Amino acid sequence: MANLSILDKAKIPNYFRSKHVRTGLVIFDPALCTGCGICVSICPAGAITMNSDTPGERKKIPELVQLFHDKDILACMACGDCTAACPGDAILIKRGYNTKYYFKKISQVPDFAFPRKY
Amino acid sequence: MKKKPDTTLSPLYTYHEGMNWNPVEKVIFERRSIRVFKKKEVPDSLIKRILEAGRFAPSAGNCQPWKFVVIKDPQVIEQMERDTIRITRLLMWFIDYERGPVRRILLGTPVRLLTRLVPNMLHPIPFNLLQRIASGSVPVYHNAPVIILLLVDKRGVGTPSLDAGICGQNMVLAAHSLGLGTCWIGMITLLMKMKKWRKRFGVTYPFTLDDCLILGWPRGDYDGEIGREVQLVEWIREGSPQSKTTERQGE
Ligand SMILES: Cc1cc2nc3c(=O)[nH]c(=O)nc-3n(C[C@H](O)[C@H](O)[C@H](O)COP(=O)(O)O)c2cc1C
Ligand code: SF4
Ligand code: SF4
Repeated sequence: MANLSILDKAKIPNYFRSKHVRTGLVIFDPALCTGCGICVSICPAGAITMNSDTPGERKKIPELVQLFHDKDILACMACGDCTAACPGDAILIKRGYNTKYYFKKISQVPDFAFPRKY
Repeated sequence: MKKKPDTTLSPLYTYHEGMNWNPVEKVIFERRSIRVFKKKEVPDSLIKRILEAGRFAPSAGNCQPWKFVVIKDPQVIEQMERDTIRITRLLMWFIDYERGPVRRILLGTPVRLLTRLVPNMLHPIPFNLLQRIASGSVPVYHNAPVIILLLVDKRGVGTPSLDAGICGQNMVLAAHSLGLGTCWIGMITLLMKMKKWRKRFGVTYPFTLDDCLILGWPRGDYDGEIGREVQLVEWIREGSPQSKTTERQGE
């Protein structure tokens, strides 16, 4: 089987449409997060921000920045650096970065695994 | 010198299945790109120790097709930052097809054609980073106290840039094992579009520069293991010459 179809080879995805680009996605556990803001300061893509105060909330919790009108396009590239830096172990990579067409990943699958001691 | 016993780590040169990481593996798995640094100076002797790990990297034909430039002057680093942002803004003015409906119609197709010509440069991830740099949301050199430029001598054996990558990663691992933080910065290619900087850093024939390393003392403890996508590995084993099996590496 060929790695990429002719269409895949020819077509450059539209970077601003979530139909073409599936950006990274991390989730923050509000129970574990202390609101320290470290993840915001270390993210290479500036993908995280502290959310604005919601009344009734004691602390600010980080969230991913929405960049464009397609709200599913995020700056996160799923590098995982925030998950390593978070002192509370409150961040989990939910989804890796992938696109359709030309830049489609071929040799990886979407499941995430930590280094395994074989 | 006597070696310090470390009970949590397995010794080097032994293997049994499922054993703990040895110290080399520990550095490999826990290294993260570091982008927040203390103001504290990195002593010259420590930088030289790291360069030494680069000097002893393997290379095709033992050609050592690299040249190091160490930048420790905060003013120079600041100027590099400013000029890289300036170029990024200029570039994005021509290629960012999302800012406004007119640009979307006019630029969308040409930029995607251009992407086909330079797919590595305009891959969606650097494209996104360029946008974030242009909008001032993300710095380029992360206020690092030290930058090591990794110039590549084009006349090397085989694929010199591959040798340079190996050399750089040798230095990265050595640096992390000594408590420093590092990050590769490929965005310096943009700065190299300016003749002024090429001249200043000696990036003239036969040298090219595609990547540099930033390093310094991390402000916080940001190293640690992370999850990565499971990799599909094809195995070709003895006895079944026609067939290969695909195995999921990591889970
Ligand atoms: C050749 C190369 C160039 C890179 N360029 C940049 C860069 O310009 N800016 C940046 O923030 N990170 C850069 N990185 C770092 C990667 O983003 C990082 O290695 C990747 O996200 C994986 O994260 P980790 O290094 O923490 O495992 C570069 C890495 C490599 C190998
Ligand atoms: S680093 Fe962790 S604890 Fe700190 S704000 Fe981010 S998610 Fe919360
Ligand atoms: S995974 Fe990487 S890019 Fe995504 S939010 Fe975390 S640090 Fe930022």
